Amino acid sequence: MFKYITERHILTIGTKTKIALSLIFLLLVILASFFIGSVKIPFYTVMEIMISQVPVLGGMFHFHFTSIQHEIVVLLREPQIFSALVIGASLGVGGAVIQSIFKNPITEPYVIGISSGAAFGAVATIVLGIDILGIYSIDLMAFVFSLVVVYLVYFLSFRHGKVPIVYLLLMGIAVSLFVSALVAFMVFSNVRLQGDVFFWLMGSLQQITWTELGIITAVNVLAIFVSIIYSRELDAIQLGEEYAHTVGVNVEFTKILLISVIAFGVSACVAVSGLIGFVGLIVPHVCRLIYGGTNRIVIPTSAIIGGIFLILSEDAAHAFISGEVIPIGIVTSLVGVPFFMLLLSRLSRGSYDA
Amino acid sequence: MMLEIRGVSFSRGNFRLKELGLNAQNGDVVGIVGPNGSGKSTFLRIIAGILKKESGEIRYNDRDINEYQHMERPRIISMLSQETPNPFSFTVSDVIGTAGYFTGRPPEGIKRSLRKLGIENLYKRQFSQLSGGEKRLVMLATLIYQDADVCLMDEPFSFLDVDKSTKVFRIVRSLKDENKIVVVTMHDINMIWNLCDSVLLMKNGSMVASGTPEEVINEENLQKTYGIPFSHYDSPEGPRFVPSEFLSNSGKFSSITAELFGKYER
Repeated sequence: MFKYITERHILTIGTKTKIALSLIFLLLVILASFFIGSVKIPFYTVMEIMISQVPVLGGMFHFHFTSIQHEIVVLLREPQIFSALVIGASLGVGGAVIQSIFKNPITEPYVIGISSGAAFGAVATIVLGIDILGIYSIDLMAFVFSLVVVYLVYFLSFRHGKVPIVYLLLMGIAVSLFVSALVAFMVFSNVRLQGDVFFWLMGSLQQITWTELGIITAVNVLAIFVSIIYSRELDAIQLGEEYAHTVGVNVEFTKILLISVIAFGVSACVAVSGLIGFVGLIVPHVCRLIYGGTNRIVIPTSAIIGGIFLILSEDAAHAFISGEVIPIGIVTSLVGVPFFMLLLSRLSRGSYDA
Repeated sequence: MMLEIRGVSFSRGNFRLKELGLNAQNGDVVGIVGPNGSGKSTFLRIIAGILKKESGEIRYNDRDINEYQHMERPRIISMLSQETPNPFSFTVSDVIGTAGYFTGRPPEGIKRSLRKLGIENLYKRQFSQLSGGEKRLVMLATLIYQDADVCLMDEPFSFLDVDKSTKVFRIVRSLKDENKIVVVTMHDINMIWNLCDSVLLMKNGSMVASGTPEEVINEENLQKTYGIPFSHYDSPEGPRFVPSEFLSNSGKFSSITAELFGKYER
């Protein structure tokens, strides 16, 4: 079947059509995902439960579903599917923005310290038994430490009143390794808790509540909105910071603003889901290969493709072994890498030669 | 239009620029010449506002350049850097378009600037697939599209074949005809006569001499700048300066070639 995904087929469609098709595909994927899981719920029942949730409309009909069905759809499947959408979008856009700022195709949001900081906060909470916000203690600590590490990296990178990108990248890697060593030490000295820590580090959407979903959605809608507004500045920065300066971009302001919104958005996601790798690295490339063009296209489509990709991965996590859910961080790489390799060989049109 | 630069100094580590200055009016082409590492590019970056000078003034139309609003500056100063960017999936028109984002240049200008260079066939091509020389020309097209009053060009002739560097030459001339101020760093001492209204000779971050090509380009100043002896011969377009050892009959050059050819013959 792969031979049908050829250059000509995908390229002859206009960019707007491609985006419209992707949005339709996203909707279908969301809908289809309600039917994947160990308990089978009929299509009609899912529709009924969803309608019952709509404020005014919900009171107008008499519905026939059990409270268990209602719970599975509303408390398990909906938060999982929508959090997959939000987290996928967040990581995808984060990747597109960070790759543009670093002018480097192998960077992702985690390189500025988000992942190691969040892991530190989460592991410290688990290991030290910190309880400041009940069940949300891990979320809060992971979020706070993620931001602490990002800003530490940023301010350590200042040279002559600017933040040179190479310093930022190296400092990000160095600080991340240091913090990861601290995490490893905490885990090492608390063998009893290694299981809990391990599952957090793998990444999972199983435990996400509506409260968490609400918060990460709010933060990430803002982050994606700001990234889209600043996509032209990012285009210019991709052509070199000096160039961007001479065409009228306030380079340092743009960098700190975008790194901040991405750090807030991605940190919030990582705090509730744990570490989900690969999405931030690959999704922007997939978008560049499918749609091409500048950040005006790559950033919004990274949100769409990131969402689709993570929802599908979550579905696969449920479907691989029945009755068991594999951590989604494992699935993203298992499913994503072969797909990405296929796309790279079929569609690159030499964009990555040089 | 008037660009006045006086007493600009700058230092970073061991590298220093000392008391550099230049004056230019509309329609002037100023050449900056000097050895690699003499601070030509740094000086251009300071004029462009990328690096902050430690002292001195840069005035444009009798106003300090820092007094201009952030959004006004891209209309005043543009710069062609030596580095060739490597954006991920941009087409040529995407690349050039970025130069007009913040100055509100109309998108029709993108094609026009490519046409000026005779490369409008590249319009829809992927930037990453172009040859090195084509990429440089596209970056020059961004400068034309940006349409600023002062055009700074950092070694625009380097790495180009004869056809392409002629195109660059023609563009510098046409910018001059459009009454812009062009400041260009270069290594071809003899092109200065045909291109520049004034010249700044630099060495180790300091000025060796400045003035018209007739005043500045002579054996003594060139030897001071490059540390090797120069000779000249007359041509219909004016005197041509070359390192003495390149001239035939002056001993060394011919002896080197003799040595080389001798080896091949054996």
